Amino acid sequence: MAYEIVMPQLSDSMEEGKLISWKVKPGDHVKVGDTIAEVESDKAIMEVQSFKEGTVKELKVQEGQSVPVGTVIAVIEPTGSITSEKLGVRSEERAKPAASNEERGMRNEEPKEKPGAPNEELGTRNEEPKEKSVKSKKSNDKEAQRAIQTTNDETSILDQILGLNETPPPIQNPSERSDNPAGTRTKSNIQHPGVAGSASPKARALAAKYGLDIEALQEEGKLPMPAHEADIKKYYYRRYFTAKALKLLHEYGLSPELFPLGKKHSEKEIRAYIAEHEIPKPEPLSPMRKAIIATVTQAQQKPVYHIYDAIDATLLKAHESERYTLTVWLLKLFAEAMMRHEDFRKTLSGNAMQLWPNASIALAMADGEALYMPVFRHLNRKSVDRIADELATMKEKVRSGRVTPEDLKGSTFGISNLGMTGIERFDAMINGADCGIAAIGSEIEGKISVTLTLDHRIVNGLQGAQFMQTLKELATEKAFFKA
Amino acid sequence: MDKLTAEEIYYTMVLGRKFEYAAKEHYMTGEISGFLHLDIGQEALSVAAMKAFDHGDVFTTYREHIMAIARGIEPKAVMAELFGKKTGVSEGRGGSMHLFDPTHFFYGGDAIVGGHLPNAVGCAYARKFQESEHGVMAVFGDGATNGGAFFESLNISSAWKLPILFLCENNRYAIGTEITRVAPFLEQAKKAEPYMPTMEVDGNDAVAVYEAVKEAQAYIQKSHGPIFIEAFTYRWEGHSMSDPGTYRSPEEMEIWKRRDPIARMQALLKERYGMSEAQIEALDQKAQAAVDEAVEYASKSPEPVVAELFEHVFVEEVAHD
Amino acid sequence: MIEMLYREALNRAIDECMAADPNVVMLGEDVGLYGGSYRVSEGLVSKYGEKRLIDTPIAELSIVGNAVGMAIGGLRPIAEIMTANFSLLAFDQIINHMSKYRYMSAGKITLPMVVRFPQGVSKQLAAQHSESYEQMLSAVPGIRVFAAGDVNYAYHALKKAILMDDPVVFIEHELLYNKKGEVDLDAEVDPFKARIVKEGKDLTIVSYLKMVDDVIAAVPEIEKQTGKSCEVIDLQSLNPIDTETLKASIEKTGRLVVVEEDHKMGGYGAQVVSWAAESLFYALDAAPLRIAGENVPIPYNRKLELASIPTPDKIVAKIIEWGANNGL
Repeated sequence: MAYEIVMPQLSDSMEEGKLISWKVKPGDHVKVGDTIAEVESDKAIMEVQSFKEGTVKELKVQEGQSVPVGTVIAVIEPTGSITSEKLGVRSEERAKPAASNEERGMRNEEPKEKPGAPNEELGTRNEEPKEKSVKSKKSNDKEAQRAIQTTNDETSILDQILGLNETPPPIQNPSERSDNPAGTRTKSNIQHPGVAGSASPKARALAAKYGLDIEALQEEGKLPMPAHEADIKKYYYRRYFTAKALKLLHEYGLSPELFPLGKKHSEKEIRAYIAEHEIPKPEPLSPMRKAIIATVTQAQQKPVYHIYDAIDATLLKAHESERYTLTVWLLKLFAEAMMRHEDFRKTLSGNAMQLWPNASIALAMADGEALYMPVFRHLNRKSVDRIADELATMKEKVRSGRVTPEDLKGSTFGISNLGMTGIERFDAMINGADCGIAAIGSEIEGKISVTLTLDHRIVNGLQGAQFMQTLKELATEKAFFKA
Repeated sequence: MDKLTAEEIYYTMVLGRKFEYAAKEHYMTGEISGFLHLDIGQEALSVAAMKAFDHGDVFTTYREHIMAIARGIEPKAVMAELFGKKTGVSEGRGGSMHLFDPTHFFYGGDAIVGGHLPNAVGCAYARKFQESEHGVMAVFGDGATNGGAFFESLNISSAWKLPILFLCENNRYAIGTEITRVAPFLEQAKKAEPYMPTMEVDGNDAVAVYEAVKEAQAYIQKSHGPIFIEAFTYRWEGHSMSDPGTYRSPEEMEIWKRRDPIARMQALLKERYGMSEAQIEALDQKAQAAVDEAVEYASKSPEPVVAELFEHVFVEEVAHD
Repeated sequence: MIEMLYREALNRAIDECMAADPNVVMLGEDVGLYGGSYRVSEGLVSKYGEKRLIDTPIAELSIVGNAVGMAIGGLRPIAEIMTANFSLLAFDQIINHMSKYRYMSAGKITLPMVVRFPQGVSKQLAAQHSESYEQMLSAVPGIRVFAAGDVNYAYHALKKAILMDDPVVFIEHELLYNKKGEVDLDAEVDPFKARIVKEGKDLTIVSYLKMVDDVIAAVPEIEKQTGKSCEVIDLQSLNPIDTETLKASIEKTGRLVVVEEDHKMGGYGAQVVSWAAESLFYALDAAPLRIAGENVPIPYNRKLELASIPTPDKIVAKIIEWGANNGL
C-alpha cells in the first residue's frame, strides 16, 4: 500500500507548515531516514524524512505552498508493495475527516450526574431547594408563575424594548448541554431559590427607586422569582404606557424614562413628542447596503483619473433590437477593445501585475435596492447570441436574488450603463480589483458619452486615451457589427 | 597600608562597634524593632573590605550596618533607618536589613540568603558591558554557599569572565548550625576552586583583609574574571537579637574574643604607626560622639506619614491603580 | 496597519527598543544564536551581537536575578523565561528582589526591566509545561503584570514595558505566537487599559490571553441561542486592573462572566468577581459566573487536556445554563 507522507507537526503550536523545498522528485528511490523535503514550522525550518523505503510516486504540494498539518504532501510506493488503487480502495474512503466533536472533548455523553454529587468548587453538596413550610403559599406560587407566563402583545413589546426575547430561549437540560468530562463532578452551581423576595441586587435597587415591594408583588404573581431588572421595568412600564405607546417607543428607540411616570401615556402623546423633538426613526442597514458601503469605500481609496469622450451611436442604434440590446453590443465592443489593449486585462496583485488572457467584464445590474456587478467572462470568445443569452439569464438571477459569489468573480474591467435614464454623462466607481470602469450615458444627437474611470496604478493616461480611440473606431466599423 | 588609612579603618571599626552596642541598647528599649543582626566581632572584615574596595559596586546582606557606614553612608541615616524614621537611609521602609544607597554604590541589605548573588553577577555584567574599569564585590556568609544561587553565580561569572569579587565571611555558623554539619568542609573557598582563583584570609586582621581585597580588586579590573576571598571571622552576638547563641560553647567564645579585631588594630597603631594612647583615646571619643549624635538624630526624627504609604512603589503612576 | 504574527510583533517591539537604546539587552535560554524557542528574538543577534542577546545557562533564578543586577547597573534588560512553569525557579528573584528593591530603598533603586514568558495549555505538553501563574504574580505589589492576548497590544505593550522604568512581568500565551493580527504602528496604546473587543449590552464577558479568542468564538452561538448581545473585554493589564472599563461595562449590562484558563481555585477571575461584588453590588442583575480550568494538573492526553480547560463549546454551554437561571 502506498505510504503517505504528511505535513508533520513539528511543534506543539504548529497548525500549518510551508513547504520550502523538495529534496526528491517523482521516480527517485528513497531509503529510511532520507530527507525528502524541508518545511518551515512556526519555529524553524526543519527536514522531513521518510520512514519507509520505496519510490517517490507523487509530490502533492508545490514549493512555497502552505498546507495544514496532516495534509498528504508526498506519496511513496514502498518497495514490493501493492498499491491501494490495485486493491480498489477509493482514496475518499481512506481520508476520513477527523471526528471533530470527539477531538474537542465535546461528545455528548449520557449524563452521569447523581443527585447530591459534590459541588465542584468547595466540596459542598448541592442540596435540593428547601421545601416551603407553608403549603398554601406554594400553590400560590404556582398560580403566580402561570400568570406571568401568559404572554400578551404588551409583554412581547416590553421584551423588545428591554432587549429581551419574544420567546424565551429553550432551556435545555444542563447535563445534556454542558461538557462534563469528569462524568459526575460538574453540576450547576446556581441554585434557584424560588422564594418570594428573591431578586438580583440590581432589581432590588430599581424596585427601591420605584417604590415597589418585590416580595408582595411576587406573592401576587406579578413578578417572577427571582426577579431581575427587566422584570421590574416590565411591571412598572406596563402601568404607565398603553401597548401601542410602548410599540412606538420601541420603534424609535426611546426610553420610557423620558416620560413622567405616574400617569398613563397614550400612543398620541408619544407621537406628539416625536414630532416636537424631531426624532428620526432609526432604520438598520440591510446586508446589501452594508456590502455596497464596503465596496464603494474601498473603491474610493484607489488613485483614479477620468477620460471623457463620446462614441458614435449610429451603428449601435441601427443594430439594437429587443434581443441584441445596446448592452449586448457594448459588452462585445468593450471586449474587442480590451483584446487590443492588454492593460485593460490586467489586475494588480501584491507587488505583481497579472495579465489575463481573455476579456471579462463586470456589468452593473440593479434591481430595487440590490446592486450587483456580475461578471461576463471570456467575451472575446463568445458570439453576440451567446452574450444575449447570458445577459438574459443574469437579469433573471438579479431579479430573483440568486446571484452567487462565483458570478461576481473574474473581471478586469467594468461597465455601468445609465443610458436608459436620459442622463447625458456621469462617472462610475471601480469594482473590486478591476483596472477601470466605463460609465455609459444616454444617446444625445447621435452620440453616446463614455467616461472612463481608470486606476492609474495599472493604466496610464496615454493607454487610456488609445483605448478610448479604439472604442470610437469600432463603433463606426460596419465589419464589427457583422460578427 | 599608610598611617592615615590605618587610622581611618580603626576609627570606623570603633565607631561600628559602638554603633552596634547602641543599636542593641535601643532595641531593648523598643525604639528599634524587627530583626536586628549585629556585626560585633567582625568589624575588621566589614570595615577593611569596604575601605579597600574603594570603587565599584557592593552587594551585601542583612548584617550590614557597619559596612554601610564604612562605605560612607552617614551613621545617623543608618540609625534613623533602624528607628524606622523618615530620615533613615530607606525612609523607614527598609529597616535594619535593607540599607541601600546607589550614590555610594551600596546595594546592601538583601535578606534572602544568597539571593543577592545573582544581582551582583548581573551588575558585574553591566559593568563589563559598559567597559567600566570598576567591578563588583558581593559579600555573603558561609551559610549562603550551600544554596543554588551561589553555585549558579560561580558558574555564570566564571563562564562570562565577569569582574566580580566574591567575599565570603565565614563566621562558622548559619544561624545556629555549625557549617561543617551541613557542608563537607570548613573552607568554603573549595567550592569556588574549579571556577576561579581563591584566597583565604584572617578576617579578624584588618590589614590582611585590606590587602587581600586590594589585590582582588586589581585582579578583576584587569578583566581576568571573578575571584574569591574567604575571610574567617566570628560574631560575638547571636544571629539576631532573638538568638542567645547557646549552641556555642563559652570556651569557643573565649578563644575568639581573644582575637578581638579592634584590640589587634589598636596594638598595630601603637607598634607600627607610633600612635599614643591619648591619640587613640581621642579617636574613641570621636566615635562615641558620632554614635551619640546618630542616636539623638534618630530619636528626634519624624516618622514617615501614612499618607506616603504608596510612595516609591512605582515610578509611573496609573490612574486606576 | 501592518499584518504580522504575534511573535513578529514582539520581535519588532524588542528590535525597535534595541535600536533606540543601546542599554536594552535581552537574556535567557536560547535567545541569541538560536533565535528564541518561539522565534521571538529571531535575527536580533546578528543585528545587535551576543553582548546584547545573551544566551544563559538553564538557570532561571540567575536569568531574572542577573537581570535585576543589570538594571541596578544601568542596563534595561529583558529576561525571557522559556515557559511559565520554569519561572517558578525565578520566583524568589521576581518576588523578593525585583518587586521590592525600589520600595525597600525608598525609591533609590529603579529597575527598568521586563520578565517575559509564555504560559497556558498549548497542545499535549502535560503538567509541567502547561500552567498559568498570572494569579500569583498579580498578587505581588511592586510589579506590573501585562497579558498580551492581541497582536497590536503585544507590540505596543511590550515596547512600553521595555521603556518603562518599573519592572514588568509580560505574559504571553503559547498558542498565540502564530496568531495573525493588524498592528497600527502609530497608534497610542495605553498598556494599562483593557480593550473592548466586542461591544454588547446584555452581558459582560471578561477574559485575557488566549481565552479571549475562545470567548469570541463562543459569542455568536450564545447570542443566537439567547437573542442577547455580549460585550467582550480583554483585560490586558492584570495588575493594575482597569476597573474604569469594567465598571462602565458591568453597569451597562448588569451581568458578569469571567473566563480564565487557570485552575478555578484561587484563580485570577476570583479577583475580578470579588471586586465586582464589592464595588458594583447594586449594578449586578445576576450572580457572577466564573468559567475556569479544572482543579487538576494538566493531563497529556488531548481529550483529557481539553476537558481540563474552557473551550468555546463549554463556554457556550455554561453561559446558556447559567443564563437560564439568571434572567438572561
